[in-house]
Amino acid sequence: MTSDQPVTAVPADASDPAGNGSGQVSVSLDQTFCADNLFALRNAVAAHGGSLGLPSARVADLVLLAHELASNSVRHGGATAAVPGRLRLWATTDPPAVVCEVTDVGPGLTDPDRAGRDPVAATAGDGRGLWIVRQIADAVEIVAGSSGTRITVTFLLSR
Amino acid sequence: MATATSVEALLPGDHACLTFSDPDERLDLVAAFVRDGLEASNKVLCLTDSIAPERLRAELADRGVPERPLLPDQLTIAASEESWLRNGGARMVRWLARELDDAQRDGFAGLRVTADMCWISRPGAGADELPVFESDVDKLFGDGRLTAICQYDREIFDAVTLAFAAAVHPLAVAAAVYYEDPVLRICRQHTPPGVRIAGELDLGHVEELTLALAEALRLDRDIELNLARLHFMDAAAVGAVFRAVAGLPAGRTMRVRCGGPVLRMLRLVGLPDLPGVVIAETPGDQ
Repeated sequence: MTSDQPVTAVPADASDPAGNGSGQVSVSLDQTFCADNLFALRNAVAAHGGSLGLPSARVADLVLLAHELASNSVRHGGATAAVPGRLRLWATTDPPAVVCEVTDVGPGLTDPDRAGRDPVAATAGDGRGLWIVRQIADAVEIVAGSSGTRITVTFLLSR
Repeated sequence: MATATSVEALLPGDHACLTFSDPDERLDLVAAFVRDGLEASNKVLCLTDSIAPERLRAELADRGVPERPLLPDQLTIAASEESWLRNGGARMVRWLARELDDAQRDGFAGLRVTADMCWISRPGAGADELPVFESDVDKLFGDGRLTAICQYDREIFDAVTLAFAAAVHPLAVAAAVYYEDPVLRICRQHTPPGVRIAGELDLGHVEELTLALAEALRLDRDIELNLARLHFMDAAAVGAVFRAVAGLPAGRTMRVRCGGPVLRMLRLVGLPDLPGVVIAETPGDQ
């Protein structure tokens, strides 16, 4: 099931994802990335997914989802070694979920609400990343502005 | 020094070495060598060691080698250590010469031999006879009746032996490798023809994938994209597969061998639904 509403609040302050000082939520992964270290990024996400007790098929989904978000930033969001993208992962308890947030300083999507909603034509070689993200994620929020793009996806633990 | 060649390009009278580190690639090349030999009405002799003869027979059958060749006694699969220990290095050459004469007498067009050399690294196996054997055996190839591939596992042999093997064999058989690093390997698959990819494939290597697929589709009508040992594939990489399928003329097929997370991803993007795509599901890799 894909919902249009994120099931957890997006933290306003990058250094405090819980945003409320409740101490319930802490960032378990905070890593920068560019084209050269996506393999390491996937390994880190897999390790964190495993430590959350997810079955291996769901870890694979989480890795794919995180990779596609990072890949988007590398290809379209201007993430480079000099100005890397950033991926953060944290767990929430209500509902039990993993939240994955990817930010970059690129120009962003022209129509964030529509991006990845429709299947891509079979003849196209590109454009399936966000489609995959929307299929896997339980909620997707895209904030695109002049200073960059932030995509936050929620991945329920019990699915 | 050995000149690189492909297994299909071997000619009667060729003596080649195959140094490998990927067991699947070795089996692919051996299967192609055996298949081509059977098709050319050669007698074929496979000496195996790293896997038992029965297992090799099954692996070859999986790779399209007929289990019952057309001619009686055309294919022999035996353990190489037994043959060597029974014969010794110098006598092995005479034994091969006899096999060659027998094959001719029995009406075969020639003799194809492939031998797994890994047993020779064991203590007491007579490794000191190897240089004499490989040099003397070369004389048997002069009249074009004998064709042979000696298989050397890179994981087992030391650099000196591997260098020696490369020096005494005029040819080295290798698979066409489009890309290789510790994380990813894209190579040509011989039987069934196509492309095999192992490891993790993402946006960084779409170009190599595109090239490998284009070449496979030029060489063969129907191809297999073997992803059985691929653990991860992303949207950018699958885009290259979509493009290749889009260019597939009607009636031609791309068989995609995969399982686990890769198959799940292919289903998410709808690759299995495309005309021309056939999925061969393998047990998940994870």
